[in-house]
Amino acid sequence: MPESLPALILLGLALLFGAATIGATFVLGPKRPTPEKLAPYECGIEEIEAPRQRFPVKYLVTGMLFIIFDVEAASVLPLAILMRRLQGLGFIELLVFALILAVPFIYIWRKGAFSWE
Amino acid sequence: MLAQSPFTYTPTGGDWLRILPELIVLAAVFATLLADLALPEGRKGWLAAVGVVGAIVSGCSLVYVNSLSGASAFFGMITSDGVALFAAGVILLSLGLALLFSPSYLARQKIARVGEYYVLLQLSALGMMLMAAANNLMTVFVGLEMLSLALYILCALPQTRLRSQEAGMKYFILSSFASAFLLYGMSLIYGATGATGIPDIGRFLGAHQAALSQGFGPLLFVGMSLMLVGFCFKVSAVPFQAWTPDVYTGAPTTVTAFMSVGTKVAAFVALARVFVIALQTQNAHWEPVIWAVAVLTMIVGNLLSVTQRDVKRMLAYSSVANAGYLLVAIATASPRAVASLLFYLAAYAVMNIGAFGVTLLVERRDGRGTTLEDFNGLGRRNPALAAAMAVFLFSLAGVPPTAGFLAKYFVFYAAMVGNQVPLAIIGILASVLGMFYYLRVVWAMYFVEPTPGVRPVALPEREPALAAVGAAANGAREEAPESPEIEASSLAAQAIPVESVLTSVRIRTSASSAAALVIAVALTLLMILFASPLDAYAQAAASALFH
Repeated sequence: MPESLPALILLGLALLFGAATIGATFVLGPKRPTPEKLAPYECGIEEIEAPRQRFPVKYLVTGMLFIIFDVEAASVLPLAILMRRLQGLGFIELLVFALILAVPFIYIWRKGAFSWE
Repeated sequence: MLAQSPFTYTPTGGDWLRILPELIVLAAVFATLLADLALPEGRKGWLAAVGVVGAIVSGCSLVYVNSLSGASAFFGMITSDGVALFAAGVILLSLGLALLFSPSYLARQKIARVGEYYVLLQLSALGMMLMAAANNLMTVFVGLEMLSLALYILCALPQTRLRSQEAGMKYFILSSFASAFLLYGMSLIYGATGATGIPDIGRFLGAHQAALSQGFGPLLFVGMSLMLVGFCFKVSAVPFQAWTPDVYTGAPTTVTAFMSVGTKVAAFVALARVFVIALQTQNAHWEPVIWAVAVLTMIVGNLLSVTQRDVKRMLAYSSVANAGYLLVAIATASPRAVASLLFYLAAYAVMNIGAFGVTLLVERRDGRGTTLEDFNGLGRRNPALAAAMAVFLFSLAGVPPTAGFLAKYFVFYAAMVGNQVPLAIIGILASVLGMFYYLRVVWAMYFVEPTPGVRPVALPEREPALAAVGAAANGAREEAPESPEIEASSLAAQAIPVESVLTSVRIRTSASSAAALVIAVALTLLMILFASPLDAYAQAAASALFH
């Protein structure tokens, strides 16, 4: 038997449990629909406009730019642990890494990616 | 002291020196980013100069890296062997030529975000160099993703042009799908052999032939098939070629020129490393498959090219056909064949970028106007441009003494010597078929009367274009930087004698485009002069690969 068998069993059980719970709710739960209950949900108040519409995704850009700093932090921390082994070359690599991040950072800053308009 | 493993390996200065060409391109990318901030709108063309300088310096550094002893770097993740350096040279040459064509083309097509265009073009070149230098399945994949991600955006860069958006979307979805196949194949190969390093896989398979026939065989074969699917997609080999014409036609022509060559160089070098080297011992299993794919690709690619009326689309199908000739070299799988593969890629780079270069100069401002009719009478309208196109097309068709002839000769010779005689014969017959559609363009340029009035022209720029033609016709040498053909045809609609228009209206070629054309023509025609040292280098590099 493969070593992954316990994991597969666990996976199967988890799927089964999830499906069983949802299925049981569906079958056993009482259903007393009213027009209000069937209307699209909007925080309890009556809907003002159609729920499907375009909305600005400005924070998408901010979110993507966040990755730069996220990855920077994730990569610099292990480097700090290894710094004693890496010696001077490691420090230079860290500086180069910072430079590689700094140039695009300057670019997006000057291009106005951080201004909220 | 810990045992050496990829996780505890400390890179030394020598490792960094071996990726010097890549680092220089990266530096040029940063220089381009910063220069984009400094340059005012309208002078962004200088960004191309930054890129060209980067490509030249990086090309010079190849000579230095070539002189270093030993090739492996970063714990065998990357190699700077002859094959990698040769491929890097071809990629840098393609990058330089594509950059030279870019400024006037981008201005004419009114493509915004010029700075990002140059950055992405160089980044994709960097990914290609990395993929060609990869000596580990993981670095192959990283390089592939790097080049693909940049190309997806480049294809869709003209934001208002529907065909480009379609091209970018199609390429993105289909290519990511193929990447997934490739990655899955790699993971299965890792599962079967316990290694991702290309030499390590080869060593394991050589030592464990018996073990493979039990148990691990199927894993290996499924992995091999999935990887082949991924690679065949990337090089647009036949069962997976459907995306090629649409993407190549929709993308900006400079991008098409670069990606048609660069992606092939990177993917074929990686394909050669993975199949011819790492899976050398499994040759009996993959050779028939690649044989069949090569035959299909050559036949279908050439047949579909024949039916095309649009030159840009015809060149897209012709790149499918060329992938077939390159697959012949992979199927032959000898050092000589790998050397011929490298030589073919070098020749293909200059002639194909050249042909696309002429096409993009003929192209109108709306991104259309590359049909055969648009090439009618080019020989009289712009003799220099037509002559250059004729050289590239003769070379693509394989007429001696051009680079294309030598390339085909080497590939088919290697196939003949390497016991692939049927493949060589099919290839030669297929390239005879290829003559037809390449030479048809030459026929249109020199032997067909220009018929400007036939195709109705409805362009918003009609008025300024007319004014420019009027000025030119009056003998004033003031030419607007717009495409020429609009003028010819809209004038004809005004019933002005065609002859006078044809003599006065020339297709405008900017200095940098002209330089790129001259370089491409010179290399296509003169490659025969330095063919033997080039081939000798490729042979040495390829035989080193096999040891």
